[in-house]
Amino acid sequence: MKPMLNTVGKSAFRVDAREKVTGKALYPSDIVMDGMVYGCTLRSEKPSAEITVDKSAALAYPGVLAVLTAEDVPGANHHGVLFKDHEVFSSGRIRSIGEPVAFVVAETAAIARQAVKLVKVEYKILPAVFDPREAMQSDAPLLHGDSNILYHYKLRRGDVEKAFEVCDVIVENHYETSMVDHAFLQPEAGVAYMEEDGTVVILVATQYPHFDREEIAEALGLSQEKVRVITTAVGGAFGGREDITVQIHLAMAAMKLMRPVKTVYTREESFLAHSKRHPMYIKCRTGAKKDGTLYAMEAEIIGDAGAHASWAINILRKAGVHMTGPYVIPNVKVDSYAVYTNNPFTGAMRGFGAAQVPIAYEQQMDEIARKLNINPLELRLKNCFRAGSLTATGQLLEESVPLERTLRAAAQAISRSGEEAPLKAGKKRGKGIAAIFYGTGYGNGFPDVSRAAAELTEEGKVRVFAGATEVGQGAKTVLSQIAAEALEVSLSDVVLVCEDTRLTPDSGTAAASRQTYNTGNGIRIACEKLRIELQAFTAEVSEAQGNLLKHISLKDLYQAAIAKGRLLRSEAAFTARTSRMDDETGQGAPYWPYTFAAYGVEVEVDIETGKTDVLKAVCAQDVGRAVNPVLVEGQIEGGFAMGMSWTLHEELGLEEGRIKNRNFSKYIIPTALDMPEIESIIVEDPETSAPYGAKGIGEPVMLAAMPAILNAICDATGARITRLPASPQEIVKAMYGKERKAL
Amino acid sequence: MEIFLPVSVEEAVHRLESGKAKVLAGGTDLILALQKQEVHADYLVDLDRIAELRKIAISDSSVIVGSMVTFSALAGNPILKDKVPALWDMARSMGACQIQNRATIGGNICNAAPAADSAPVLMALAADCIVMGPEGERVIPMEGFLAGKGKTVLRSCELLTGFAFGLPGPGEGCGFAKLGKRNALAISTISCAVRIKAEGRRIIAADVFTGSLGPTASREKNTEAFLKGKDIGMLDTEQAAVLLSEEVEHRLGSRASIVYKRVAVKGVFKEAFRKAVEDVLKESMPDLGEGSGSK
Repeated sequence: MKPMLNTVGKSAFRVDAREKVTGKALYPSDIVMDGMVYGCTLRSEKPSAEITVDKSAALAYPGVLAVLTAEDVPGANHHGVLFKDHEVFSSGRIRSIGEPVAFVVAETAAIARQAVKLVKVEYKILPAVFDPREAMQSDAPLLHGDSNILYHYKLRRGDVEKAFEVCDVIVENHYETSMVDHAFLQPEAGVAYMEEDGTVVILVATQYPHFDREEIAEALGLSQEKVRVITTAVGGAFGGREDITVQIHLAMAAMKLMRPVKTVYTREESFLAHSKRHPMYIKCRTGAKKDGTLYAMEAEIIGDAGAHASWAINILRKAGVHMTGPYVIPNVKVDSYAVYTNNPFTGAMRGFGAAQVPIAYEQQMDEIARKLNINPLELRLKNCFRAGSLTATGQLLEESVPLERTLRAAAQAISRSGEEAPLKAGKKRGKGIAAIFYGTGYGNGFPDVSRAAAELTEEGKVRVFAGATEVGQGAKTVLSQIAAEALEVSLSDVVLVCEDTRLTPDSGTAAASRQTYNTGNGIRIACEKLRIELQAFTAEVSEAQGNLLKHISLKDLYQAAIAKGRLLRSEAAFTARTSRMDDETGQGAPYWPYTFAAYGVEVEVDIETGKTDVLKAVCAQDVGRAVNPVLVEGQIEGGFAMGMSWTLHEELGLEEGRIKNRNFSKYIIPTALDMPEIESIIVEDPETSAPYGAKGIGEPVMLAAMPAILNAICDATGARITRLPASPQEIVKAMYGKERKAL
Repeated sequence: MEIFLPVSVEEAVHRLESGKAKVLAGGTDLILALQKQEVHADYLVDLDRIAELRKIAISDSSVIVGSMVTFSALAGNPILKDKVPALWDMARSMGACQIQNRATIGGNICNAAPAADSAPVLMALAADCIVMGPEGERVIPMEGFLAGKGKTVLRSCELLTGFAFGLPGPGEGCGFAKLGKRNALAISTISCAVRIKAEGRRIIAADVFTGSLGPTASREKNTEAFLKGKDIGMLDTEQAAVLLSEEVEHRLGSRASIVYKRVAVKGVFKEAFRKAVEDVLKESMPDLGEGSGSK
């Protein structure tokens, strides 16, 4: 039975909608300050080299104020989310194209751009490696330390060898996923300035202001109290704003010049500056019994980390944990490797390793179904996770596992919907389904904490503090709705403050699909505590008046509290449940909770040009509970678009570590004309530990799109696409590859 | 940089005579090239204010399209939509709204990109390019106007003022199809325009031009020869497409892209041919049935 909810579950308008649609929202490139100067970054142009830098000519250029290089870094010349293996500026060894070498600051942006060309960099070329499979060999050029393999995750369950012997059907294939960019709308930009007390303030679009503060302070040799990060409006992130880009350069320049400093990257530079999605090479073998019971899986995953670790360990771990898909398989062996190469560094991107593996496991499910002549839906239903199932890591899924409902809903909706227009000559249509699961949160025992505070204001509103970033996903709205619900006040009485490290507690990163669940929980607890305090104080005031008080406004309550020298305020922290897995077997309970989804897709493929049009998508998404159904639909549509784009179009053209297509006329992402009709089906199954039952969905909404489209392409053409993107060329190759001459 | 804004063709031609000038005819390519310093000019001659170049004049038998007519204007013209659907189709599928609002058909032709969508269509329509120079007007057939990638036969102080072509008569039809990497804002990977003229059911003339399969749009003679004399509803389009595929492969030789393009060109041709047939048949006959395929 649904509890009575007043604000949660309603499609409230986004609290940031008005300022964004009217253009009032302040993105970093919109900020202008008196006396502001401009910086421009010089980046490495070779993938592996030793460099020497001569900045004298640039310094002498009229209008140039500073040329910052490694020697100017006041503190530690490094940053990095896991290892500190990024340099603020290269100190001599270059490991990839795009590493910052110098930051030229000048009176105008034009002068800075011109003077950057005057910084002389001499390259002594070193050997390089661009394929992670080659980088694993013992004779490969090394990037860091004594091996390019920076991580090996082992998952061991049951006895795979014996199990395959008794399987009636085995499918095996290799899959390759492309390196792609987040392609967020707003290229990196920021402004830094000094306050009179020596605090350096950085205005930047970031996913995690508190962690940025820590990294900036360390590089600047300052205490964190002297660094203040203010989050501007963020024009999309998707994981691409987790690693430092502009922050430290700007802070250094502002400190040195004592003037506001601004930088705005071009789209071309943005492609160079932030992380990319890990390309993965996946070998996978799945075995099943005659009746369709899945029995064994063996897989090897090799992920290209590029030149720096970023989140490679967590991503390849997540890939390994999710390799089986949302199915019970008693015998599993997975080896997942993160490997350095001289390619651009890869890092967090929506799906975080759990996005690549469905391309393998969900295509294998269809192949097994075809071999056994079982309906693909029936095969999935026979094996799918339910409450009480054990995952391959041995984790018990206790509750909120509505996978079967999502599968049935998606399959039913796609089977009854069909493109009604008659099929033209040369076209074929097909349908496909796919199911996924996704463990939200940091995982593997890493402390996953969200702090929050709430206080009654003089105006009788409740001000809520949480350092959670609105990256476009709707966090500000959803978190405000949760606060209003917990406080039993209307949404307009909640004022959420989330943009300033000086004002807000650390609520963790806007990543891992964790803000609704984790910070939502922190806010819910803080607000429930405040509500109880407000009720108790109301009773106290009422008692003092001989219990005559029927109603007291929050404004009057504030005045009554102040009169007594009391502040009505509460704080809370929420820590997600996660435990570290065994190093040798990968057994354990790494994530909680899990989110599930099943998508169905219909495509039309031109059998000569290979062009694929997605005609229809039905997306059945488990959400625990939808705090704001329209925002959930927005996430589903965006997630599907991103998944479709990766499946059909996106690929960074890499040539010896150089990205060739660094603009949107060559790096293809879809337009409105490419999008199909998307039917969102929200499946609710509230999770006890979640705020009003709501689980994270930001990443899960993307994951089923890729395999559902690939399965539909196969249904239409018979071609199995195992290498992304499924471009017209790939499809034509897959259809006619062997009989090319016969054309 | 100086920009001149002449109000007449004569004035524009006069401006072109005095120095290293570039003609600005919309600017969707030129401005980017100038920004990237790939193109250098002493000054620009912007044709924006010459009203007569923006006209579309349609008579009973012929059409004159001014060189400064935008793709939006072409796509918004109901008579072209009805009488010359290939041109209309091409205009509305080029780039996207914002590009169509600025880009002009004359600019598209003079920029002479191998992927220019308007080139195969104007060639198939047997358009004449009307050119004004210091010595007066001359006419150059569209098929002879392009001289290579980024090159035309225009002399340095000549101006392309428009295109003239006959309206397709009874039994005539024209179709255009293109393949891009997405449904909008995509440079054509392959484009194709087909014009046929039929007497009864027999094709008596066929013109087939492809784009993006060579330095300029090119006439595909073998395919044309095959189509000629065939029954419009009975001919084997697969055989025509295979001939085209071979013709293209012969021309492009060992380029890496040929592996895909030789297959894909068949699909693009078939769609253009199907549209041309529909155009022929739309007033004369009921559905002659391109069979509705099945999975």
